[in-house]
Amino acid sequence: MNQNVFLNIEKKLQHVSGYIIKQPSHVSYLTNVLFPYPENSPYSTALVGIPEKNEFVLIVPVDWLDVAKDQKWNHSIVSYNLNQGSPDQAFCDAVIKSVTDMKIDTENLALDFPAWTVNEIKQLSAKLNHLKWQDCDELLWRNRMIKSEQEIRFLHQSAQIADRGMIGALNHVEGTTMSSYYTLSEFLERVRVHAIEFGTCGIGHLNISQGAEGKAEITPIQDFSFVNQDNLIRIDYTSEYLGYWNACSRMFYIGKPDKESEDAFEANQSLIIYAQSLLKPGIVIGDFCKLIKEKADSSRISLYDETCFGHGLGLSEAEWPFITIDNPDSFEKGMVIVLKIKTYGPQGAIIHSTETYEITNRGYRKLSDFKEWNHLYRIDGCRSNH
Amino acid sequence: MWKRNLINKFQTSFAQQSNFDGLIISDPVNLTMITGIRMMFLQTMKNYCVYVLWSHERKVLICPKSLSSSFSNEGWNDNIIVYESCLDPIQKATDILIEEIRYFFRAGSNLGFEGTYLSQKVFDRLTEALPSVHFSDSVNFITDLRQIKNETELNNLKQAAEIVDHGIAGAIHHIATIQSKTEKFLTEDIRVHSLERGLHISGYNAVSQAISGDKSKKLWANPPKFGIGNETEYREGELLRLEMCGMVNNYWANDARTLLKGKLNNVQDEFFAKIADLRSFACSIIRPGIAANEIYTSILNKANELGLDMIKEFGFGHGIGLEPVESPYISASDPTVLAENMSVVLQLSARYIHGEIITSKDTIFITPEGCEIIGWYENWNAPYTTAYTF
Repeated sequence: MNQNVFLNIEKKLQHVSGYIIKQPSHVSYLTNVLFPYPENSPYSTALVGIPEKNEFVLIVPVDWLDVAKDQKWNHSIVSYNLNQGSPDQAFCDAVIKSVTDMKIDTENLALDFPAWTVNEIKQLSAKLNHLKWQDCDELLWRNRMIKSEQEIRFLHQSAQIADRGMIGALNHVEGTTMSSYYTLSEFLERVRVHAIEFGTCGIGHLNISQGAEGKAEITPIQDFSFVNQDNLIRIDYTSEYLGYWNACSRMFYIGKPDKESEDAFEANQSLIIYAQSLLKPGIVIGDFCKLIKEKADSSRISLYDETCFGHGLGLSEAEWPFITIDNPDSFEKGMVIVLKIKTYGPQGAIIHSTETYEITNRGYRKLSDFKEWNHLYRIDGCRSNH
Repeated sequence: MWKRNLINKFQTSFAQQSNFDGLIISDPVNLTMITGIRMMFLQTMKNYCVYVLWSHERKVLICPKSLSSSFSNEGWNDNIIVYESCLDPIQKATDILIEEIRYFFRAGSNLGFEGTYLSQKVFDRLTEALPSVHFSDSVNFITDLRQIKNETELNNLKQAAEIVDHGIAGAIHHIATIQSKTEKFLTEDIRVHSLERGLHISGYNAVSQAISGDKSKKLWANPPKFGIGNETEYREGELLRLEMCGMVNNYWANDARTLLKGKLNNVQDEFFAKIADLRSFACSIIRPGIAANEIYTSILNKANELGLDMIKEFGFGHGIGLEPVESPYISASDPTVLAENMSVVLQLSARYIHGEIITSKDTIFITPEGCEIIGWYENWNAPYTTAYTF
């Protein structure tokens, strides 16, 4: 149980009698319990707690009871099941019962308000007398922005696994591009398989694009298209290690890259190098973004997204700080971010190569350091056996 | 073509069956139906916010600029309003939504929203900014729309069920009694064999499991890894629980089968015969007009009669469609009356003698007369048993 978090956020709240936290990554952050793809499930979890009494109840669907116990959750646990009601009704009833049993004063609750749906608030309001709450969501996100040493180790490992997954997949595709073709889908599956080989605990987003298809950010594969010669390929995926996510995008060229592709990749790299030179504690994130945009404009490099250049990483695939042009916050030591600078390449395809950084006292430490991706990766040649 | 068909289904239902002047769609699963593209990361990455405001006269998609070409490419050919990526995309998108409603809806208009998805925080902003608009929960309309499938949806579900069932069967043909592989490789093989047969690749909960022995006493064997096997070896005589979730054209399969490494003994034979009896019984009662909770009670009574130790807390199934688990739920609490063209997963989970959870999941279509099991690649009334060697 990550109880220090409550001490940190309680200073900024007024007379809180108890907490109800629902956002899955907040729950994991506080409890050290991870759940199977919770946002993609009809089931919700919540943590109900009174930190000053060290009383906490984790509310889970019955399917995940063992999941919590196996991760050494040693406070109370309440499960709900579908025989008690629809997923949201059974969940809300379990929350209401826990709050009531714990005798939490419902006029002084803290909850992560944006995570609660209209129907959930309606059910809670109907059964909890005089329900009043303070929103602690932003405080939790802010607290989560600064990573502990252990979190940074996990994020480093996560970044390395993500790149190893890419390289493992590439090693299968090399030598197959002129015969015995790989499908795009199978290439992407190789990335997942190799990330698993190198220790990932879960895969999230998966996307692959080829040639002019890469004009769009998301390109679902719904056929058996092959990896084809003389094409730019972009793979984007997210993966996690012990709950800590990495977002990884890499570019490859099938065959001998033409000058236009090489130049486009080099231009993208020049912006990454420039952004790295700015990366240090104290710089206002919005200013950081403006400088990158100015550099792109002065270098005549077209940006796919002119106002966002990445985000924080942690127990969510995308979390604070968001590296957006309107962000007034500054980089701080202990933040871990993924830099996402997207530019245009041949046929309007998006060029995107991510890098993950820890913000340090003096500047940054690159966590995506399994290999340098400063040249366009070429998949070419033949495979021979003897 | 199939995308247009689904958009038309939504449009027709909205025109003929709803009392709404407009609908606000924000649930990424519902957005899938009307845009043709499944963006599973919208459920996990809060730096994106997408709305569709749907009315008889005008459909508008509100999304970050970076996603607009993805929506256009995949079939959205109505209006798009984009916003630049920013610190608070929900606020930005909601502001645009408010302006659209102000401009295109008269005072007193009845606007539907998804009460089970829309956050109270956003709802408060909407009601504060638009006091003259009447907001009402569209959950019943959307649920009905999603529960009753049209031919295209049923085709997608059939294809998904067939592919995944064949994928599992294909993977387990690589296991022999004396030549096995680890849990990790069989888990991967199930996924890969499904993809090879045409499953559309997707991440998150599109995962497989292949669990045996003591580990199969739990639903998720290796937390905090989910859907990822480890180096566990399968022993002769063990029952393996095989599971796979995956999509075709955004419609899911959710399949579970059993493999026995070796030959069936009498106790196993008897156990699986009872499961087969229970499945036959369930299929004999599932028909249009019966309530989901009535099916649950009947299955439970029959299981007790057969002496099976059912895991009744999971219910005995659920709907399947744009999500691998959706309503209706075959549970004690769900009074939904089944109707023709609903699709459900019949989930029979029982504990075997040492507590192993044996699960069978069959996709079932509700037909005019009763129901039909979809997608069986082979007869699953008994578990698949391995050959001794290759």
